[in-house]
Amino acid sequence: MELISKIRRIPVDEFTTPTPFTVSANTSMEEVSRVMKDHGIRHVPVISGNVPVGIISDRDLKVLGKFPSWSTFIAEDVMSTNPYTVSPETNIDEVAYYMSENKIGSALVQDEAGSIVGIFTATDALNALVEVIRGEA
Amino acid sequence: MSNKISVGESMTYCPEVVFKNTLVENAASVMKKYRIRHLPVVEKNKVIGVVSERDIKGKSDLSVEDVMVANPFKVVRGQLLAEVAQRMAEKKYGCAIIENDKGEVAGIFTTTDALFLLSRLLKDSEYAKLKLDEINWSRFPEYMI
Repeated sequence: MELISKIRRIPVDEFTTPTPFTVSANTSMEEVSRVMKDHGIRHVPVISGNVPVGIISDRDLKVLGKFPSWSTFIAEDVMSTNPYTVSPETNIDEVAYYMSENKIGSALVQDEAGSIVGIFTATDALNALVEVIRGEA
Repeated sequence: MSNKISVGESMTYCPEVVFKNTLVENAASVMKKYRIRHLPVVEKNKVIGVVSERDIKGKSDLSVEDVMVANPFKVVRGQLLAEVAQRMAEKKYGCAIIENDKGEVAGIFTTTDALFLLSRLLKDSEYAKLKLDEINWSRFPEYMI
């Protein structure tokens, strides 16, 4: 088996999903739920003026079902605050390690101005892994 | 880097398992104890389903059978990891169950394993110089063993 001879730096934005669907803090949870189902996504960033302030995952939606009045909730009531954010240049190994250690399903990618430019999920990581193993990345 | 690595070389060995009549509360405590999010559901040594943290979140007074995903994605140990990971990405599967020659559960490969492996393969450290087949998988954190 060949040595992994050179240190490989792959910035996370090479495998980031651009322009993710986003919601704002006062979006109703009915709408959030619809966005996630319609687009088949499991993580939706909550933004305030394009800066991420939280994230909602489909796990959060499952818990929500326990509350009879859930349809009156807004994104802010449900989101996890302080989402894991990285810059587009962050090395993918660092992001992948942090996500695996902390069991986080996604990383939000922010530009220098703090605006969200994409999301890196476990699905993106699988695609990266495939390319790394096949020697394409 | 070899593109011939098989899923059997990178899976988590001998995962914890549950049975279809296990209560979701008990499955949840196993997940919490071992910091894992997927449990194969086993009947007569065969995997009949997978229950994930997603499936049991917010549920109680049910057995695993009521919430599990039946007929999970299963592969054999020799299957190429790249193929398995690609299929998981395409179908958004959270894990693959790895079976031995007898069709019994041998291990599990989850997206967490994929993230960890990806970081290891690229890491800017002495690990990057290791041959892939020399990585000592038994030294992985407890939750992955």
